[in-house]
Formats: sequence, structure tokens, C-alpha cells
Amino acid sequence: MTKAALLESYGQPDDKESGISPLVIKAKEGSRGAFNLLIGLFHEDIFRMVYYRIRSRMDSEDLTQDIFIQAFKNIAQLKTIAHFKSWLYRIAINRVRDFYRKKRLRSLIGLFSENEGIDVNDIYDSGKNNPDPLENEIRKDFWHQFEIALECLSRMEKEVFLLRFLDQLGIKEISQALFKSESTVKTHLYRALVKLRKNAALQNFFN
Amino acid sequence: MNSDSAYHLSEKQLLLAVVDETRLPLLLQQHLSVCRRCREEKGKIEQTFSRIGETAKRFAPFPVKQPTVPSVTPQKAVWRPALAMALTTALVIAAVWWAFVSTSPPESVPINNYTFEMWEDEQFMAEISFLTENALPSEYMEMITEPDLDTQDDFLQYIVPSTDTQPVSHDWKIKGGTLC
Repeated sequence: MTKAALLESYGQPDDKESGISPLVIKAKEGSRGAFNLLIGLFHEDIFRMVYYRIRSRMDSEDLTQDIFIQAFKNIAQLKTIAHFKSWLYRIAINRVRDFYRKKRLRSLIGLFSENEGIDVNDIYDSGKNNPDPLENEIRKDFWHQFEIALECLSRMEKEVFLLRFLDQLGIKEISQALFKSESTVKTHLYRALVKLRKNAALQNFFN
Repeated sequence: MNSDSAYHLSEKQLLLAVVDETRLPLLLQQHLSVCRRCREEKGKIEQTFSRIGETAKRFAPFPVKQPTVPSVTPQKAVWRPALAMALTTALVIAAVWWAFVSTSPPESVPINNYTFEMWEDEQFMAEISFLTENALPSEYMEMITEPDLDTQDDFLQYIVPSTDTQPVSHDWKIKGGTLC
């Protein structure tokens, strides 16, 4: 079922942003049905958001599940209904951070090497169902170049850039998700754009 | 400054405009609003970064399964961790209290300095008496058998016989004694 169909079935207008408020209110009151509709609306976005950061489909699926469970348990504490999306992204950002923290801890005590948490084949698994080998090569090359390009950014610059241009969040939503002022977010975003503009790994996008 | 001006926004100024046009100086904002070339350049930069996002979205996999919410309601989920935390706290307090009681003096009377010193003295004396009774290391103590008083008496009797059992004839030098 598409997002628009989901909202229409619930009697909401065909607009994701304006239509979620009644769903969030009902979910806050404990309605499982309303929360399931919210999952239907956001789970692909959240899954991609996690995948952009950890590049493992399996781990992304698990983390997405955790994020929605945590959201369901804590939705009663959400103060502003209109901030639901940024609140959900904040949970997702924290869960991704926890994932890397655990991975570092495991590598520290010697259970895994630093790169072992991510299956190398899984990084490019988005192309497994695609029979076109050329398409798969392009896909692999893109993620490789993208990873190299992001290495030149600081942690906050990277996070702000990903939220703005890959997750399509506005400056205000990013500032709410990161607990930073809008001015700080803009400064980090500007620095990230300057660095990426000079970066050789993304030059084929700029030319 | 107008669209015919030779001056145009630099790349850094265009990037700043992509982030937020209002961050540009007022003069540059006015120029950007009328200069077609600068607007096109800004549009190109925006498109470039948007294209990176679109490509990433196209090359990302689709989730196989949709998340499901747990069977507990949010209200139930709130008190469970609180209950677990309360039980843990109670256990910790009980453990600390038990440890304190087991090391404190046995008297139930309130402890002041005097009674505590008395209790310390008693403990000290008990320690001294224990050391007195077990002066040797435990290995040596095992080698020494428990002293048998009867055996010891027989042994002493053998070494130093008692005069009570001696015959009178042995006292022949005593004046008035009778010989056997």
C-alpha cells in the first residue's frame, strides 16, 4: 500500500507532513493502528537513513526495527506533535551512534576487527536483485566514491550533509533532530559543501 | 549592481546562498535576485547535491520486512523499567546493609566512642589469645600432637620419680631410721 493510500484509508489528506498530526495524536494515546500507519509512512525513509550510515542491509533492517520499537515505547513523551519527524530521526541518529559505539567496543576487546561488523558483500547488496552487471558496477563505484568523499568531513559536517541532501530534511528539522541551533547547522552545512565541492571523488557529479 | 554587472558571486558565495540566501550581504542578495547567471550557477550547485541524494536513494536497497511494534502498550512499557530499577536498588541497599551489619559490633545498643573502644579491646584481646594458643605456624601445629596429660605425668614420673614411692631403707642416713 502506498503512503498516500495509507493516509487516505485513515481519512487523512494526501499530504505526508500535514496528514500525520492526527495519527501522532492517536499513537500518543496508545493506538497501535495509528502507529502502524506511521511505520508505513516512515519505515522506508528511516531504513535508507540508517543504510546511508552503516551500509549493511541486514543491520539496517534490525536497527530500523529497534528505532520504531523505541519510538513506540516513548511516543507518550513526545511534547510537540509537529516535531514527530525530527524526533524520529533523532532516535535513529542515536541508535546509529550506539551501533558504532558497540562496534568499537567489540573491536577494542578483540571480538571483531573494526570492519568486521559490516559484511563486505552486504555493502553492495542493493544490486543483488539487479541482473545488469554494468548497473551493479556503477552502484559499487558510487558507494565507494561516496565513502571516500565523506571521509574529508568532520562527524557533524557529515551528519548535517546527510540529513540535508540524502534524507531531505529541512534546516529546522535538522536543528531539532541534532539539538543544535539553526545557525550552527547552517555553518556545518556550508563547510561540508565547500569541502565536497573540492573533493575529487565527487567530481563526476559536478562536471 | 545589476544583471549586467561584471561582478558575479564567487563559488563560496554561491555555496553560502545554497545553504541560506539571507546569510549573504544585502548587496549580494539583491544581485542574486536579478542576475540570471548567478541564479543559474546556484541552481546548478543545488541540482548537483540533490543528484547525489537521488543517486544514493536509487542505489540503496529496499527493506525486506516492515517493522512491527511490540505487543505491550506504551503505558505498560513505562513502568516495567521503573519496577526493575526499583528492585535492583532494593537489592543493592539490602546487600550494603547486610555487609555493614556483619562487620559491625554485635551489641544492639547504640554505638558511642566508649562502647566501640571496648568492643575493639575485646577483639584485640581475643586476637592475642588466639595467637598465644596458636603461636606456631599451622604446618608445625599439625606436627605437634595434642598434649596427653596422663602420658606426660608417667613420663615425668619416669624421669623424676616421686619420693612417696621410695622404700624407707633408702633413707638410711637419716637418724633414727630402720634398715630393711
